[in-house]
Amino acid sequence: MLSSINNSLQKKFILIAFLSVSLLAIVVSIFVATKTRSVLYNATEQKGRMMAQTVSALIINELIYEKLGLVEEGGLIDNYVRELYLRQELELRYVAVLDNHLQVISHSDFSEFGKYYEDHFVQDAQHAHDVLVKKHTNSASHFDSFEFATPLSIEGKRWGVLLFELSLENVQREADVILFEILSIAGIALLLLFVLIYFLSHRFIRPITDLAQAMGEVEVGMVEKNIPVKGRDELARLAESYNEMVCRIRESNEEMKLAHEKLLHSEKLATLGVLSSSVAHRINNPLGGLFNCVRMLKRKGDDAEFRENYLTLVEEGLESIEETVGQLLWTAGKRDGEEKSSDVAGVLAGVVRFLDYRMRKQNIEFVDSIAHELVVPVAPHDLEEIFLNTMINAIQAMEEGGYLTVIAKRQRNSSILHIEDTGTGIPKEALNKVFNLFYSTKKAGEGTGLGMWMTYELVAKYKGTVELQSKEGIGTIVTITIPEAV
Amino acid sequence: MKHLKALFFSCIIILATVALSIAETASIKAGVASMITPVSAVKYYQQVVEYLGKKLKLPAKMVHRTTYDEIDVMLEEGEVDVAFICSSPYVIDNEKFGAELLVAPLVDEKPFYQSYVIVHKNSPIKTIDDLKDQTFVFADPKSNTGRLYPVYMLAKIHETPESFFSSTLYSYSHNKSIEIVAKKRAAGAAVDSIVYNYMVATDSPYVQETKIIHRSQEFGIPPVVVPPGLSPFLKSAIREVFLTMHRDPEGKRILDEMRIDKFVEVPDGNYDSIRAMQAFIENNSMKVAGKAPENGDSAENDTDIIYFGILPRDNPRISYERYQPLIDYLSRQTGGKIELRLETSYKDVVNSLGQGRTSFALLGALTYLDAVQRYNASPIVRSKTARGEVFFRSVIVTSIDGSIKELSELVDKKFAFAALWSTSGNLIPRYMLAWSGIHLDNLSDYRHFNSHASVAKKIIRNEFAAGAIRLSMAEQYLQYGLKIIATSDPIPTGPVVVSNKTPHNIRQKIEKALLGMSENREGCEVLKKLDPELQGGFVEASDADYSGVRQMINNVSLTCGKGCHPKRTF
Repeated sequence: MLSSINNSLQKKFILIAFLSVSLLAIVVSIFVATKTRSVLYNATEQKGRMMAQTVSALIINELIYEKLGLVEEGGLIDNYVRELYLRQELELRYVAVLDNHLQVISHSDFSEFGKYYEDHFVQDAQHAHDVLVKKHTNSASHFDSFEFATPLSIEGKRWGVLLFELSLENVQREADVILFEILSIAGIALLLLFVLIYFLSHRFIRPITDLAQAMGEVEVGMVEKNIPVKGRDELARLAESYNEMVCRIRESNEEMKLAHEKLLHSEKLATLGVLSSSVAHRINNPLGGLFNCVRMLKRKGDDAEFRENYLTLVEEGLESIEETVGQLLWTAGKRDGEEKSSDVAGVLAGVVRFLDYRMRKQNIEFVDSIAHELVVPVAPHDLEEIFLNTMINAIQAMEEGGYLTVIAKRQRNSSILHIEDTGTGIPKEALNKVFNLFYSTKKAGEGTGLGMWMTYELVAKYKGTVELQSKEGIGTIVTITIPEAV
Repeated sequence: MKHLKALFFSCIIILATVALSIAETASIKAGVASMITPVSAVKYYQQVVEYLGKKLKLPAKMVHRTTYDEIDVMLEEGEVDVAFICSSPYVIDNEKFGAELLVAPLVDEKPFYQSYVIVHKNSPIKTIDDLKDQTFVFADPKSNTGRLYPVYMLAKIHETPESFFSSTLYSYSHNKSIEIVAKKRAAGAAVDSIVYNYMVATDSPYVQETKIIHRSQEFGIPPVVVPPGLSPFLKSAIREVFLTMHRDPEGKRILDEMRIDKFVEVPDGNYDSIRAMQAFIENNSMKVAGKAPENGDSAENDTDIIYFGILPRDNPRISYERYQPLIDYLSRQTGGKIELRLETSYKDVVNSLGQGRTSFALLGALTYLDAVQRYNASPIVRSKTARGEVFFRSVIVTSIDGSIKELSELVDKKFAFAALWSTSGNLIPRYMLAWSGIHLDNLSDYRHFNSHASVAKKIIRNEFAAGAIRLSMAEQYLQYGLKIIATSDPIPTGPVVVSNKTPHNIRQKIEKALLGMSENREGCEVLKKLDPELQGGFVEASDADYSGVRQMINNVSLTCGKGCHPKRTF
């Protein structure tokens, strides 16, 4: 779940948007609900204060009139208290009138008559100048209430205290209803928002996922594959740019491929240049013999035995030339049904055969040490190319003669090839440029600078590594490590 | 066979039990306590009981006892099947052993009645407070209207009958209580309103000698109750007889004689106001038994308090609002405890001063002369008006819409005076009218109102063609449609008068405080709240200041014969 969220921009977007809006909604709801509650509480408090003032004035009148004997009727305050209490809409928990001794002279609950109330609230009210309010939190019923106490006084004359309690039950219920309504509306709004966000994000994220998918499907040398572009927004522009980019990459890729091929071809030509002297030599030798044979046959062709002998020699000479030419073709031409592995000794022997003339000419001693039946998981053609490139480099580094040593051995799961020369070596500062494309130290016409790069690329193709150790004036060791076939 | 026998015997036993219980209820005993007089009770209740027996087809017997107590005991013991008891005993019996409310009579369409506090019609007593140290008559120790209510009223002012009255007695009958008051053998009594009203309706000579000074709130009427153990059958049968009594010709006749409309079922809640009184007295006595209230002024000795009287020029509430700041100021300045004492008439203010109920009084010129004449009181200071003058004026006003422009046009008009003893609202205007040739005989009607504001309002409402008030009051009401048609000569402002019983040091303190009022800010603040005639503060006064007014009265013949004018020479 978490990882699926982590992996999807859409889900992240929805989650973050939804959570932040929810949080906002909750904060706003709580704020509004608290505000509403306090407004309702204030209204109730105001109502209580007003009631306290009005009722106290009436009670004072009653007390004065009764004292003066202006009213014969007794119990008017009791009636008043009772009527007040019975008015449901006032939500009175109780109403009490106390005299100056804080004795209850009237109360909505008859059993309270005559009691003395001596709590501080009442005592404070007796000496107060205004209505006192106290909030009660009733843990039993969960409903709060306001208790009001007002002195029954005119200026310094005091008759007692009017005490009553307003229940906040309805107010709280009302506030709860409002809270519930706010939360419901917020909930519905959130739900709608969720749906909206879902579809919107779908609309926004879809082109991105499409793009991502299209990118994932892109391969080198891919066939024409474009992303459909809808609309004119940023995402459409992104898809468009992407399409253009893919197009440009494709074009430059083709150019690169072309250039690459040309380069390879020219390198082959360069190699061929090196090889051609050897080839010429190998053809010249039999050719000399052949001319000799032809001349001898012209002279003594009538002798059957002689002719037979010389024709065999001619055949051998021609076969030798055929072999040389055939090998040349094998190297340069196209090859089908290529093998995936090659016998190192065999391939090396073939390569050496091309190079032995040059080596001899340069007075180079060739030494090899190949592990018995060592087979590497490299196509023979590629291995041949690897040897050819490295060895030609070595030979070119030894104009004054030297030793060229090739060691091939197995080490753990890899095969290691050492190509070691005693040539001029590579300057230290040039060592890390050797594998670069077109890096060359040779004279013009002798090399293209592709040799080591191609070797590196080829070895890399087989997940192998090439290492170079060199010391100027002493020689160079190229170490190629090729892992076992995967 | 054996089983059959057993069944037979058990049947016999059941039958015997039933027969026995029928035998038990085979007669109806109804309890009656003396409610009106012993004789009347017998006469009326005998009829009801007989009627009941006749309807139930059972022999009925009335059990009559003098006190409520005796009936209560019989009810508790189940010795009576039904009883007519007072409301207060019902509440107690209901709580004590579950006496059940059966029905209640409807008198004057109400299932309620009241307690009346009565005094002799010539008695000066006006309030319950005035009954202090007088003799008082209760009906029965358990009576609601005849004892519980007055005791409750006394408890509310932290008094008991023993502490409040000089002596009390029980009459055991409301009629008797009325008779005792009528014969002045006691100053007051608390009686049942039904009994009192019945006696009024029947022109009882005793009741004519009394007057009511206080009426209680309404209490549930004395009900008909049954003991808790009464069989449901009998109970509903009795209830049915009572509830249908007014539809039966014979029943109707009995009810009419007893002045009862009919019997109805009433809720027990009707008796809650009685429970409240009982609770008050109980809670109160618990408190007294425990600890005296620390709060309030439990050490409130009347002797420590200096009472200050003022004329009832306004309604009492406004009087408090105007004068309480002055009283508070004097309390602060003198360090004593001074209280305002209101009276309902000008005369009473002077009386209170003379009889020592008040030590000081703020009077008008006329009331001052009365106080000097009768009680040898002396003036200490007199007020200055807001303008700083020591005199003010009285005016005669009419409605702004009226055509009256001169006093002489007031012939055959209705005239409103302020109080009889008001200088500016009665005495001076009467002279003004007289000098214009208008005497009371020439007016179509005239009336006195305590408050000058009332006079102004009556004229604005066109209830009177013209009236006399203070100039300052008239100025307040001009905007509401008053017109001044005549203005008096200057009238000296009223003095603060001290009773000759007031100790000299107190007199000095008050005098000093009053004279210094206009010289400090606190005093000025207080002055602003007073009537315009007093807002200028106080200056020293002497009897000579009022010689003009005295002269004026003495110069005129003693009486106009209307009984409206203070007949006195000063």
